[in-house]
Amino acid sequence: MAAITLTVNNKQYKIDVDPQMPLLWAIRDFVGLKGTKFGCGMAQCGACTVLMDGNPIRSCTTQVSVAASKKIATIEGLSENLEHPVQQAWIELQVPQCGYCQSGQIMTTVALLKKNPNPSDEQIDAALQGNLCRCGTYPRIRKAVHRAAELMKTKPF
Amino acid sequence: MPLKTNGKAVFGIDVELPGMLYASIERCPVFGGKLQRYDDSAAKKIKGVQQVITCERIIGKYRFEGVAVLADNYWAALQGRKALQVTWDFQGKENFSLKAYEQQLRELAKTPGVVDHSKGDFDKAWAEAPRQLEAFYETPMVSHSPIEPMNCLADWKQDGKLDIFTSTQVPFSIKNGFAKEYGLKPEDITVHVQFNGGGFGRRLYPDYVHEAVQLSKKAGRPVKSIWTREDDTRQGPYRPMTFSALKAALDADNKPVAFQHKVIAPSIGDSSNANYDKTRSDGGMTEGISEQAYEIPNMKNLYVHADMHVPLAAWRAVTSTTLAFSHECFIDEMAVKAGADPLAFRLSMLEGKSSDTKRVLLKLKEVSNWEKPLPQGWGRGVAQWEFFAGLGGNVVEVSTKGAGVQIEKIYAVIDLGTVVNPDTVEAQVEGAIVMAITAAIKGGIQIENGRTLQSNYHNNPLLRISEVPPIEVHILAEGGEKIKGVGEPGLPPLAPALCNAIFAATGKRIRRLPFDITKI
Repeated sequence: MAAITLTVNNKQYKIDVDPQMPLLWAIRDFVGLKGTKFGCGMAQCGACTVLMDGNPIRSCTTQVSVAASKKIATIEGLSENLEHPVQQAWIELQVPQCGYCQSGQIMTTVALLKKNPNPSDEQIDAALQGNLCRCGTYPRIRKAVHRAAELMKTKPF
Repeated sequence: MPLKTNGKAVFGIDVELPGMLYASIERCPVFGGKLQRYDDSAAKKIKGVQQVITCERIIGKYRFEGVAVLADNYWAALQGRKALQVTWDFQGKENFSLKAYEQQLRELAKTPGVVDHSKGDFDKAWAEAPRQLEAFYETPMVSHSPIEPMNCLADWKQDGKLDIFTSTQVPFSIKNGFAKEYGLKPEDITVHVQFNGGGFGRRLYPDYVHEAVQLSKKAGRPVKSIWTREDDTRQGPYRPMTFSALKAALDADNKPVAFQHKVIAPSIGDSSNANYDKTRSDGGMTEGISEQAYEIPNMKNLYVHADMHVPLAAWRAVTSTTLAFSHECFIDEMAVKAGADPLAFRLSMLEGKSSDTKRVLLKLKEVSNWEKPLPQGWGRGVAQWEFFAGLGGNVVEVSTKGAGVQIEKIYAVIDLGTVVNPDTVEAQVEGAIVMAITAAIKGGIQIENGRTLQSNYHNNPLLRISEVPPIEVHILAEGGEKIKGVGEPGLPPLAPALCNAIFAATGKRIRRLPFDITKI
């Protein structure tokens, strides 16, 4: 066990955990933010995607000790009142079905649009290739990424 | 919807209670094995591990014992589980091979079976007809694999009341079934239904709820059990495979006069019910094959039961997901034998009366520009399916690409009486198609030495975003007062329409799922 300070959504959390514990379980069970999901435990489904210093990572295969000195962003920190353009696009196009994978889809999209404000279908597919959706919302995800890109032009976030 | 974009939607896996323990359960890797003994001394040395106790996974007629590690946090429970030494008695089931089982199904196809539906005189019409054809189709078992793994938080309280927090499709049957199983009154059980991180039929089965309830009772504390993805993939239940032996005969004018679909399969009903009657036909396993609107004067559909010891389950659109493939591909084979256009051939069996099926096929013809020539190397295929959950149809266009094919476009028509929210209908049909493509061209569960070979999404893959072709959904709402299903009918027509398109493009007839779309 080790005392680790995690910076999640610009807030510091002091937790006492096994340093080898995946960041996912530290965020969910020790920081107490449940929006980041467990799907596979081996970086295959992307449900656990969070941003580490702005880059999307799989928190299920990232040790909590690695994240200690980094800035972690989770779905809960995106906006206060759903005003993030990616959230707005997701709601406008009614993307989620069961909704379980969508935190990961959204966080990956946020990182994509930061790097590439105007992605093509191919670039969207490449960025979101690691995020599975069993409900099959992929066609809408593509549309919503384009819509979010559009919204960001008038309202940078 | 907003809750599903800001992390606030509470799924079963997210619920917590004060004082609860997390559980991870080791189950027999071989289906049908029994617990012999276990050594938990190393597990108990892991920091955070509190208790190691057994529980029973009750699923349909099966009861499987498991060893649960209870800990302060889930990671510790997982580490404790890894440190367990468990000895199983495999009961001879370690010799089970799915490949050998499939060979048994092919042998069983030679037995007469029991009649599911009969009209006219199939045997006479078949024997006397000038043109006959036969084919054999095979499909795999598949997993549900919702992204939220099975989980349940149970709190068996001192006063004998039971609180259950879980993602489930069947809260009322849990309330009543568990009251009976555990000697409680239904009113003492409260099922707190959480958001479902995908059901697809998997969460019709509360096996994972039984485990958590027993653990909470034994531990005297709230217990939250979370399955790993490996547990989910390896332990079943699975959608069963169906094998199909099909026969048809055409008269001298190439009109179909006799048709037979014989289904050889293990049964979902048998898995669910210890008193299952093997001597009768099983409507669950012959789903839809006698409900198609095509007019063929002589028909005899049959069912051959096969025993199976692996737990089986309904899956989105159930047995229609496999039988539509064999049935509607064989209808295509009949059209080829008759030298007819596949869509016109289907319509020729629907002449003289209006039907929902005819309406769907005509709409598909219109929206897909069926008669417009396609580029060189392309092919298009059609299929429809009517069953208890509704009616839908697809036209699929493919192009040849290297040694395989690429899906270029999918036109979907769903036939509904009344439409409440067309946007939801469209989303459901798109999702059903994505799930159907996965089942047609990916994975499939394999079992050797009694154990499932697949374990996680790397070897039991799902379709990814780059693999999704353009999908165009058309809703027919001309069915009057009928109200039909939305979530399931989008699924069954995809595999046969795809394989019929592949035949049109390449001349290769696919009779076994899954297949590798990159190597036709």
